[in-house]
Amino acid sequence: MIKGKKICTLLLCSVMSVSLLGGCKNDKQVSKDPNNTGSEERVKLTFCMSQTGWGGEAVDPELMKEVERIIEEKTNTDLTIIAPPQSSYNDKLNTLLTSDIPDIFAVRKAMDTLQVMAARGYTRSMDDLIKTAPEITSLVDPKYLDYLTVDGKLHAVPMYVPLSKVIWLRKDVMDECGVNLSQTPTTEEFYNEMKKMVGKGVIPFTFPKFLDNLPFFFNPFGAYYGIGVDENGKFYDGFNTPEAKEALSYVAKLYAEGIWDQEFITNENAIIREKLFSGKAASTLDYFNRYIYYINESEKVNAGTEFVPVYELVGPRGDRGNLNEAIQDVLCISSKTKHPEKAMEVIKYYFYTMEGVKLRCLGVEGKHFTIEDGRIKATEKAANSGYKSDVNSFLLYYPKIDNYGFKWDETTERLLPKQMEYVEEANKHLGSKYLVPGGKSALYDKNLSAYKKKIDEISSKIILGTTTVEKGYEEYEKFWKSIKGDEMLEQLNK
Amino acid sequence: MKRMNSGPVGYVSVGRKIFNISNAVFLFIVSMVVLIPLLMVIVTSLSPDAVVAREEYVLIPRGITFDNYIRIFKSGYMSAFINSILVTVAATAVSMLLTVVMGYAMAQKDLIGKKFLIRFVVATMVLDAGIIPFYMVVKNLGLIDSYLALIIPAAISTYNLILMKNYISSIPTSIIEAARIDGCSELGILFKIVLPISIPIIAAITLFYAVSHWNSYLNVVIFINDSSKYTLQVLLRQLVYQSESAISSASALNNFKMAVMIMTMIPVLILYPFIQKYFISGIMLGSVKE
Repeated sequence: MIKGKKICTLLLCSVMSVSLLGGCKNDKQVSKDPNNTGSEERVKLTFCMSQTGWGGEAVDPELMKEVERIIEEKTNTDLTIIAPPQSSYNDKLNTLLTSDIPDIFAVRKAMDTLQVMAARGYTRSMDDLIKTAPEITSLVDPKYLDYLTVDGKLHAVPMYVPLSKVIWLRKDVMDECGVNLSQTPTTEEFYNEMKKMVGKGVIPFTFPKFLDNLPFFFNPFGAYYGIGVDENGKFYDGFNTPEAKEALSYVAKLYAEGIWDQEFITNENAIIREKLFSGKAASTLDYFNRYIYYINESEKVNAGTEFVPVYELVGPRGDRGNLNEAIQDVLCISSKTKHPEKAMEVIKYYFYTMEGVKLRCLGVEGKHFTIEDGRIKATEKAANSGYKSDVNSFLLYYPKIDNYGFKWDETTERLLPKQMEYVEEANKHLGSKYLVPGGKSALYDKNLSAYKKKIDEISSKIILGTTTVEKGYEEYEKFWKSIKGDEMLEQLNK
Repeated sequence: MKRMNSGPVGYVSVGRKIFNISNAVFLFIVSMVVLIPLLMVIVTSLSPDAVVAREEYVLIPRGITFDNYIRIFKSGYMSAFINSILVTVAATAVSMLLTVVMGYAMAQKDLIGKKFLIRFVVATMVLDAGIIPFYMVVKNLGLIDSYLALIIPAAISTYNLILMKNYISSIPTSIIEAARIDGCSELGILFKIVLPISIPIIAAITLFYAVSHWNSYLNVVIFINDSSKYTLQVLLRQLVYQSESAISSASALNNFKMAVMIMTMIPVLILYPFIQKYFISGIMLGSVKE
């Protein structure tokens, strides 16, 4: 009896193990034949984009469904939206790409990651599709589409206009400390004027922990923060140049003398913004479209003041340029999609038509917002799920809205002309931005992540003063040898 | 035997007094280290935006507002809360059932292949293929976008299983043999003899599983596509980190983040006092070997 029970137990365990292992088989079956494109059936597509991209940043699932419904109606598709939280978007996308590549997906930091994604075969060439997309080609500068090519083929389209950052300063602190800065000061002028704010109970300049913002301070010295392109069109290590060392020494001096936020290494983007609009900091580096945002937020916390931009710094040899992020986020079509044309139609509608951009930035009237006395007002449901109806978000997209159909609040209406002036001016001071093609150097593709981490690490050590420039670069040169950096450049320059 | 505190009854020596005072001061400092940050979190969560924006730390309330809590409740908190409750209760029940049954089986001295089974189980603590193979297995089981993806793959924690196995092994075999002699089946022994004796370890492991499933975030993000099925942790993290996007214009103040922290802690804080006494004794009992 006992023996029989033992044998039964063993058989049961074996069956469980086999069934679990059976779950590891390749799923070659096609679950259905979903894409019958009969005239009445909608094409099924999956669309992966972060949770805040579906109507004014509202994260309520029902409100997102409303946006989904509108897109489906306009493009005759049956969308499955995958909207992971922003903070985990890359984790989710990278997991999906290994097996269930969404038909349409957003890629962040495209200047670095698109090349790798294309090299791995996740993205489809859009050369044929872009020919039928005058909505895109009429608005996007061909130079920026070139940034998104891999082996000469277009693999993505931009989600936003090229982004750049400027320094925003509080006028009240400037006046109180007698700071007199032009909008394009020299590095020496910047240092001398910002020093006046040291010890005055305010952080003269706060900076985020993300060191890929350092190009704002590299450009004035003629340096490049990463693998750059020289005047002969050859790739070189921009980080290991006398100009880069000079730039880092300058930043380290700003830090050592208390001009640079001593806690910058822990600052998230939200923290630097809070420090500036609350008056804890006098200036920070942020996007060109932040003027109205800072005015509004500072008013809310009873710390209202005017904000002025510094577009760029001019170095000792006349080099200049702001932080040019070029194309940050892009939209790609899956290499496995059965309906690339429909996928492109969705992209065109949602990002390159006025109606689509309004849908993305404002949501659906009656669900996300209402118009009362000619002014926009968020519904309660939307307001409580993080909704923002913000004119700044419209500035990020290519289609320019000439008629919103309502008036913004009085402050926004009053400040909008100045905001537009700042945006236009910022675009005249763009710094350098180079694209390194993926798939050309196996060493580069393999070591890109480690390279970026290393230059951030060395930069932070030099700025914080935990190492000198000489010792920091000694360590960097050892790292460069370990990743066969010279060979990597040779491969890129072939 | 010489008493340490020699003297009349009630007499407290100077050394003892010094020790008591030092002990009290030390414990007071330790409790302040724990309580002051908690106080700061609570006070900040109730403070208006203007106060939080101006101050580095808010320990003394300067104006009280419940706006952030109201915002959390109206943000879809209840539906996400219900999702979390469903997942936590179901996952904990499944986990406990499987852990108890497997722990009992592994505790049997005459189990065929016991050594191999134990090594096989312990190996899972050390070897981890990573998220991609895990995702592919779950996907091939057809569990993507289903709550089963949060329940089945994480059903048994090896650590908890070993605790259970060790505790059951410590039960005197004479009790079990007596039950067998009386004609009790194995299932009967498990449910009528072993489980009632194992209440402390069951309470402790239930708490471990419940907290683990309640706090589960990455599995929800990876396996669930439909945002209406997101649990509370995902919703609240998204609300907190909305302002972290480089291009977002969402507000960034700490009072809302603190309110979120309080709301995620509350359910666990409510549960803990009911099983606290089992929790502490259960941890130690599980480690006793025969």
